[in-house]
Amino acid sequence: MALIELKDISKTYNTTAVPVNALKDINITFEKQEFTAIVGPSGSGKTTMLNILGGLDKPTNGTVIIDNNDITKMKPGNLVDFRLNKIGFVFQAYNLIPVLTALENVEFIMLLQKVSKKERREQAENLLQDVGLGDRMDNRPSQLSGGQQQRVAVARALASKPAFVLADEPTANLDSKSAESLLDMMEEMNKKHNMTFIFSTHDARVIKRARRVVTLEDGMVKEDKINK
Amino acid sequence: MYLKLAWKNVWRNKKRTLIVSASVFFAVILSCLQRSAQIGSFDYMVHSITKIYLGVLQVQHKNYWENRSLDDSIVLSDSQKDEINKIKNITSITPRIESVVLISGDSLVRVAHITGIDPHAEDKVSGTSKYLQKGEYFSLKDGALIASGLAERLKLSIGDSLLIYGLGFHGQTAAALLPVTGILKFPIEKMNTSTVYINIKKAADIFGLENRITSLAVMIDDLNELNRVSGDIHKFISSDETVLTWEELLPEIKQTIQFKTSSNFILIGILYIVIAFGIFGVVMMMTLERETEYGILNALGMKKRRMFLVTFFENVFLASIGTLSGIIAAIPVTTYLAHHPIQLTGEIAKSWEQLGIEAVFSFSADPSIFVNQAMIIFIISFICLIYPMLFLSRLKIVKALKK
Ligand SMILES: Nc1ncnc2c1ncn2[C@@H]1O[C@H](COP(=O)(O)OP(=O)(O)O)[C@@H](O)[C@H]1O
Ligand SMILES: [Mg+2]
Repeated sequence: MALIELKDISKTYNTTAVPVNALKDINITFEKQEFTAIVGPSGSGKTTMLNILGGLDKPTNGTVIIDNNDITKMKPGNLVDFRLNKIGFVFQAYNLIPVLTALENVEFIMLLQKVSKKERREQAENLLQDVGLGDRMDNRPSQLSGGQQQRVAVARALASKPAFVLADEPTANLDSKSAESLLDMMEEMNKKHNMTFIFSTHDARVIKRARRVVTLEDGMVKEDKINK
Repeated sequence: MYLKLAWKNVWRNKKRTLIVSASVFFAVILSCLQRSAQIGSFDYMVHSITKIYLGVLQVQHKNYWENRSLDDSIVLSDSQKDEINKIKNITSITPRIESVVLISGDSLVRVAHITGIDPHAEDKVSGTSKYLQKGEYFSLKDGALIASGLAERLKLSIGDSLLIYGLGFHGQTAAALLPVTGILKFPIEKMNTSTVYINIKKAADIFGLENRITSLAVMIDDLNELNRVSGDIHKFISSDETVLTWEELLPEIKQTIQFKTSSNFILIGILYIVIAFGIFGVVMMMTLERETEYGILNALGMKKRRMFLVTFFENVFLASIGTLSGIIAAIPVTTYLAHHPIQLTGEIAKSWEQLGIEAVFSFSADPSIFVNQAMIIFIISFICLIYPMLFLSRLKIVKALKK
């Protein structure tokens, strides 16, 4: 049984003068512990696909099944809880709550899950150690570099103990060195915590790091291959 | 942690929060002072009118207040007075015979307001004895107590004779020659230049009234019970007699108070509308500039309800900073002023005295003043919450993340 299954997914935006078919009849599955890149040129539908995968947007047609749950049929309130407990998110930028420290940002997601104060503190500290920010826990986002901020975001995504982590162009705002080391870290987490990562990118160096590469073009899956 | 987050959010833009807090601060101080002065001066107005000469209520013949004629006098039996005195909240009663007469000393003649009083009962109602400057008060029997301003004008002092000439019951002539046995100094100029007190028995003699009086003045201990007490008194008097409250006795005072209150409400209202826009502006900016953040939080799994809760806390903090500091600053000021009223001088003083009010600008430190200001600010800020509420209910993650 696949972790995630997209069945006949299509997405049409009707907000523009000419409707845009951002995704066209996508069928794809993702398994546990994957480390997968969604690639493709700008406008190919990567963000749209990740949003639908993460329950942030509804497809025009088709179903999304995660861990045997059809999230396209969920009530909004349940979907929020589902995201909280099943999906970790890393966005391109402005991920963190600017007024909270790195530690508090990681703790926050567990606060939403009603984890006890002691446990969430411990867990957050461990995760920040894991992502290499043991000495920056009390810094606010503005006191951290872009790469460090993304590490905090990954730590936060892991803190809720999700089934998988979605990251939409997590390295887009990073220089190549930071991008590289973020990927190192994600890979390490993938191995250490057996965590599934699905991230979009159009950075060749990042693509190289993925074990599976799904290429989108014009809202369709053009290629789906395993990196050796 | 939600509270902590809210508190930190409030200070994201320090300058903005300080500006809106400062404007709330000044609005609260200003309106506290304004209300304090208003309530204080009205309380004082009512107090000085009722306490010094009017009484809170008066039992009179139903035509007396209009005609001011001794022919419209009344007879109250001892048992009636007893019953009235027993009514709840009534602290004291005193009978009076009032009339306007001509008086003269050696050669000068003036118009004076003469009142026949029972010295002890009158003192309980009006505290008259404390105005005594010279001579004796409680022994008043066949002599006259005269206000100091009037005494000066007539060049009278203790022991001198005072001639009274007026109109008695049923048009008979009322005249008497009385020795001055005391000089009273009243805080109200108008009273101080026109008042003569004589014993009520003597007054009955002079005016041929026998056991008739023109009014029974009544004091009560709680002004909120005014109308109830008035109703209770009605049970013990005849249909020719009536009970008038101070508001009915001096409608112009009531009107002045109402007019000033409403005109001040308009001013304060404008002030608060300005403040409301300030608060709303900040709430709106705080909401709009965080659309992406709200979107991310919602994506991560924070319910809109919970985001609204944090926003609600932010709002409470935002309103509290200015309100609490404003109240904390206003309390000592109003408390000081409440204990140290400002003595008025010049034209303003004259105009107050013409209304029969002591020219003192009083303040009130009544807690309700501060509570009311705080409530107004909080109501404003809760109304402002409608904006983030609608905003959050319409929030679309995908759209917010694109910003
Ligand atoms: N909210 C929207 N309204 C209209 N068109 C949209 C919207 N979001 C995305 N699109 C369009 O859908 C297509 C796919 O966009 P997107 O998923 O963002 O691609 P990518 O992330 O690969 O750059 C593009 O043509 C884009 O212009
Ligand atoms: Mg994109």
